[in-house]
Amino acid sequence: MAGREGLIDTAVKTANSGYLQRCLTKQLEGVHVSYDNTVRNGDGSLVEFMYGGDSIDVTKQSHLFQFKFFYDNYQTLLQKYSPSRIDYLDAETAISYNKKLKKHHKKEGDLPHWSQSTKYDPTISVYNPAKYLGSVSDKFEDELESFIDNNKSLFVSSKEAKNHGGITQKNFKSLMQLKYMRSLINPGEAVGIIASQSVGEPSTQMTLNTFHFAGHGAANVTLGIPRLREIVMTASASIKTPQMTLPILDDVDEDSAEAFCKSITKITFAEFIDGVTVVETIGGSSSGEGYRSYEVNIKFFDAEDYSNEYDVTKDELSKVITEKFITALEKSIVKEIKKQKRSNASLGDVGKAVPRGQTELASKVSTGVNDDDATDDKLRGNTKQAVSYDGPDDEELETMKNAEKSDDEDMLDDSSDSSSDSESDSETDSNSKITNEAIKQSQKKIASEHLSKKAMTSEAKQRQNEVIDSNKLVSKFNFDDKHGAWCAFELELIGESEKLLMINIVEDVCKETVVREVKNIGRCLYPEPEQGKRVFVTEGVNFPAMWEHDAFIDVNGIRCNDVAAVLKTYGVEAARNTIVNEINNVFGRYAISVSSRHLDLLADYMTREGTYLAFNRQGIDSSTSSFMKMSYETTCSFLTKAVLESDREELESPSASLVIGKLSKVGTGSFDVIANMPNA
Amino acid sequence: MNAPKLTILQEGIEAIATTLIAHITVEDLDFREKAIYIAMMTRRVVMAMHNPKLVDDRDYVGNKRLELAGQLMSLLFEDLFKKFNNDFKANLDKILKKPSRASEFDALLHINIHSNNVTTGLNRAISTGNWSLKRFKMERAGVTHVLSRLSYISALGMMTRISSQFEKSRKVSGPRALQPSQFGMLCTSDTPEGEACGLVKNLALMTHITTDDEEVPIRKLCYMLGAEDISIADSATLHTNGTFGVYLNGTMIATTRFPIQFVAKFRHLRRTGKVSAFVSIYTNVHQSAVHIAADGGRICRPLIIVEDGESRVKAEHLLKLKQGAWGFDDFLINGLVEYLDVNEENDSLIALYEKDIIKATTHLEIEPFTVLGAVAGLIPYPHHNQSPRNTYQCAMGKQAIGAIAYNQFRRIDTLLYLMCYPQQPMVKSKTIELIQYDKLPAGQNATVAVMSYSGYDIEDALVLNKASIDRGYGRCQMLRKNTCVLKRYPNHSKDIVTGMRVNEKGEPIFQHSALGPDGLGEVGMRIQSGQVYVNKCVPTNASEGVVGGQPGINQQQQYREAPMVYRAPEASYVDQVMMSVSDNDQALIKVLLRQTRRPELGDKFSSRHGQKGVCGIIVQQEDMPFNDQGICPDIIMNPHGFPSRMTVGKMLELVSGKAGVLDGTLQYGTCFGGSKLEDMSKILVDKGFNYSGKDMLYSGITGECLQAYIFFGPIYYQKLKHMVLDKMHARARGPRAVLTRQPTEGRSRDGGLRLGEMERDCVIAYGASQLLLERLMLSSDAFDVDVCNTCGLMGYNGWCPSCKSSENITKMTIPYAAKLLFQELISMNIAPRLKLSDVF
Repeated sequence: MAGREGLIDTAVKTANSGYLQRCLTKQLEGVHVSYDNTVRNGDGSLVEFMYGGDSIDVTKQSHLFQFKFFYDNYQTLLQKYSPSRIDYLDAETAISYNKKLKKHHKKEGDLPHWSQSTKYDPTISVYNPAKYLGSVSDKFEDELESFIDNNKSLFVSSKEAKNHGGITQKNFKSLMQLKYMRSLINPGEAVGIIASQSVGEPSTQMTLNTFHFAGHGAANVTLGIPRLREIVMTASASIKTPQMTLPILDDVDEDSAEAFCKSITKITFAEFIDGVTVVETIGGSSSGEGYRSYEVNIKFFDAEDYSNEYDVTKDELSKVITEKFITALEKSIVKEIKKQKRSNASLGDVGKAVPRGQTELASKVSTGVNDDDATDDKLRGNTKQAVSYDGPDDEELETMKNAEKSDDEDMLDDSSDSSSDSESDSETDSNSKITNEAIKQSQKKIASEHLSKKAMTSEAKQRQNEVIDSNKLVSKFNFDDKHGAWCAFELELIGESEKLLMINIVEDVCKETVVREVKNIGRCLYPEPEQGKRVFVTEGVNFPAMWEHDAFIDVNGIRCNDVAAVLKTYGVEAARNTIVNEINNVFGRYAISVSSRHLDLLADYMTREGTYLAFNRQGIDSSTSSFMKMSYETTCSFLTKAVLESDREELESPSASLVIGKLSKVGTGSFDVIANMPNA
Repeated sequence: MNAPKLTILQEGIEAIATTLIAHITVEDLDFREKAIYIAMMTRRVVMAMHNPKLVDDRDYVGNKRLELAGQLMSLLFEDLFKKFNNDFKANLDKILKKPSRASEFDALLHINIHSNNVTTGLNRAISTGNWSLKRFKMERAGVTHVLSRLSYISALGMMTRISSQFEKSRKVSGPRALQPSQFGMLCTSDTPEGEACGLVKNLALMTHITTDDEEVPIRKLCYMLGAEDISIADSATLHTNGTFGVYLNGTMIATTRFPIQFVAKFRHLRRTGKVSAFVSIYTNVHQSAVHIAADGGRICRPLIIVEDGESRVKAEHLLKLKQGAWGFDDFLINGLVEYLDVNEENDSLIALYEKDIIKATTHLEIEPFTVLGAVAGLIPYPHHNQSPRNTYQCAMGKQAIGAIAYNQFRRIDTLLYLMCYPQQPMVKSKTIELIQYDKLPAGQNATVAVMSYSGYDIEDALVLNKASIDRGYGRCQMLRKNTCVLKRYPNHSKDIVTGMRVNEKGEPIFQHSALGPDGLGEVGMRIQSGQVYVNKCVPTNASEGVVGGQPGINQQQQYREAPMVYRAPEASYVDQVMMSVSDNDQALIKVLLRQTRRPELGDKFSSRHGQKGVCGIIVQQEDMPFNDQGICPDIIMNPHGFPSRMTVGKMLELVSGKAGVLDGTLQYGTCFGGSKLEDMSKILVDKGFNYSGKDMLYSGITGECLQAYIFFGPIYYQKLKHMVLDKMHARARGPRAVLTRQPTEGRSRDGGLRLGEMERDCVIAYGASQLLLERLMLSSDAFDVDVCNTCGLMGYNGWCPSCKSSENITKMTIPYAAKLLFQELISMNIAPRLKLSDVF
């Protein structure tokens, strides 16, 4: 089994990861570093201001911070880089600016970052690092300074250097800055493709299936190639496992942390219920009309148990029942009745065809829908393949739900949203079968007992009247105020209504009625703190709700793995950082480390227009090069679009340059050589 | 004649009676059985909704049926026959409709027109493999395959193949995974790797596929055994606790209150032969059902019956078997062995060995090694190997070169690979003896030393011994068939074969030096590239009409030569020449050309454990290491191939093979058995060798002892059909495709190698734009066009046809494919206008 699984994996995953790399490469092929150190697309649009933030070539960065080594080999390096032979080297401007900058920062160093003045921008963004010696990244500058400060004994003063030889601080610093200048990325470098290959190649080493966390408590996240596809290729607005990570403030103790955790978890009504019994009676009322009455008795768990577990009191519970549960129950009963009436009406037409929606639904289910590459559109054309093996996909479930919804709406003429799920149910803790006569009898008694006039106090009576007033079908209602152990009510329907499977309706409504929830948030977990940092992990994303709880959590440190949600709330820069973090996470699980420059470029490219664009057919749509779009996937549709818009193809992207036989603008093609012809 | 029109109600009743759930016939409008069936279906659905565990598993082998050739052929025949009838009827109708008929009506004449329909239809379906039946709305491709004759095992393996109907859909891993229910029925290691992994399966050794059995006798038998017929039972008895329904082929026919006795009695009847041996019966407690299956397509295997803790097969039975008095069928008839299908296996407790039998055991496995199939049976000690390695060997064993059949020298196949000196393996298995692979083996026992040597054995390459190759190791022959048809033309002229042409000295010219006096290559003559082996001549007036020529006059025929020329880098020999007549009376000549190939650098070899490798270097025997007795290895294998691959079976094969060579006996490497390592080591020690198979070798180059003991012994190596001579290919300049003027594709057309999209990305990543331009335009399809500046379209000869002027024409070099693209766009009414501007 394990051997076979490995073989299947190898056979299947190469296609997936190969497609991922192709999607990345096609869009990033024109991205290159231009002569002003910015990273631009083929047509000149800006992607990054500095490659990787500091314009350093990836291949040259590994030795950049090894100052001791450079100190030991000072003379060799001096010979190698021979600064005297470089023309037009400006060695003063940037250095003096840097000095001013440092003085300014010393003054303002302790102020929080939003109140610091912006008079002095970082050196590297003001002065071109390729031209001005000393224009280096802040991190390099700080590291260099700290090395020099920590090793003052290695350096001599300038007077001594003249007499005895040795290295002064100034010389060393200049050499290091020269080394930085030599490690800059060369203009014209095709950075986009390098980034896409750097991400695509490790993805072939990740196994195809996600592996789940074993054990309880920990949240379930999508991992591996499916997650990478979610982030990069589909850029889906709703991901499968959205999560928020909330850091806990230090002064919060364990108990309050646990209590907070429980308080934001979503609790449905069904979790309180131990059992539900329904007793159905048919009779005739005094006025001669038949009626059908259902006495529902709900038995809860012990009040102490559920208030400890969920921190919900019985008053809250009773409020939930009266306000939400009964109304929801009524609504679904009414819908059921209408559905029955409708199906009764349609029985008369023999030979009426099945509504179109359902046949289409059937045919949709029978074609195997995979994810979103264009081959499926093609495949759907050849229908001679066998019936799909898989159950319906996520997209298919959506379509099925929508189709059902529309059918229901057709039948109901109702604008209420459908609550009927097509999914099978999980275990409930209600014993719903009314099989044994004895039990029936005893429960009949219990229900009627609870609803008898004797059992109700005046408050209860008042509550019952309120409930009866606000709902049409309820005739009696009572709740156990003392122990919070049961609740009973009676519903009356007219006698002509068909038999309803009341217990199923009650079960469904119980599962949906929510006692307490923060919108969009499911469970909240309190995992083991790693490296001393305590965090909460919630399933589901809701930022505004979390901002309310700044007593427990550090609101400024909230992290999320759903890029679209972060984009909506915190803006595009935060979304960009989330993308980088998430991709890093994906690779980190397999102990693969991809340099952050490539991920930065990827994230910057995806957020280049201020939103979250994916590397798929829709994301490529905003590109200016039509040939690139046409050579990517759906040739004819892009072609027709280009023709209808009278598009103008500037032949700047590498794909277009190849089509027409021009030199592409990356690499060697980013410059021209002009020879100085002597006059005759 | 049209049937009288029925009312809507009658039509509805007829539809329910015949069309809905058609397999249950309704007699006299008695719908009870059908109603019970539909109710059962609903009940199962509701039960599954309530308990998701009751949903049927689609991958369970017991829920699958295999379609055999007979079924498919009968469907095809039915479709063709009905079509034949329809065509014949239509033909007759057309004639009989006419009021006035000139000739006498003879139906036979019209039958003869369509007489070939059924034959040609069957022929076409089998040869193309497309089963397209309109009546059953079946469109299936790939139903038949040409039997591969690469080696005996490939032919045998192909016949045990089961191909699945799932298309190669990528994501689904359910049908591809290994099912536990496959045990004993389908081979666990034999599946191709790559796209079809897990979808194509092979049968295990002892499986049998059932065919349809009559239902009616079994029905009667059920009633006789005490089950109550369902048409007389009422609903209360049907649903009481403890009543089990009896289902025959899925339809409920009876109920019984004593399921255990019922099943036991039925089984007893089956074992005594009163019921066919392939009918299975099993109990399903969740559905309260006893299922009897008599349909075809079930997969089953035989097991020994165990009664009261003792197997029914005793020593005297085995003695009779050994003497030959009893065959397998005798065991079956006498109730010692029975066939169980997958579902019935669930009801039984099967012991693997006799010592494992406990009180509750019902059956005993005949042999554990039959879990694997025929192809996997080649592997010695497969139970010591990592399982993917066994799978790789199952794929490679089918590509090994060896003997095909006993009549391999009489056959003329399109492509045939034969080994010159095949040997049977030293370490064989029971399966090999059963399938008689040792009579038609596909490899040779090579003496192998496992050591690093020469540095030419990196990444699984092998070092071969030149002297072994000189003495015939790994030598193979490749035979190729070339056909030539001497056509007859409508004007009564035909192709002929003329003799050779002679030069001034009287000797045949170079091209004809292999021909004999009849114009055909002599058997045994050597044919080089450029020589003719069939000197065919085609008449020059072949296309002239028949009319106008006078048959009586013997016209002088003019012929021109259209000989069959041999074009290949290596010379071949003529092996056989066959002259015959094809089915339309045309003379047919088949020439079988033979090439003998020595192993050379690049030829692929593999052992029987998925360790494949290419020949890296051929070393002289003097340079090879040798042991005390002077034995040099034939192959030197790199030891780095062992740790990550974990093929311990190969190491055991070496030890057992060495012991067998010294002892003079062939050893066994059967799965879950085989020769024991202790015994083999004892033999080695007795003969004076090390117990672990390691020897002390002397270096061939320096003459000193090597500082480590070397693992040295015989291993069975196979030569695979991937030889470098068939793959080597180079092109500097060559033919171009007509449409795109780019270099052609494929070795046979002298094509170029494609610089694909991913390679283009790598070149861009280097920044080598000029290189990209050179590779993709200048070396491929550069083309000069005249582009008109005013309208932007292409012109020719300095003239723009749309502007009708010669001014403003610029010459440009664009790829021909681009020019083609623009022209195609123009033909679709889209104008791709090129705007030109100065570079500086």
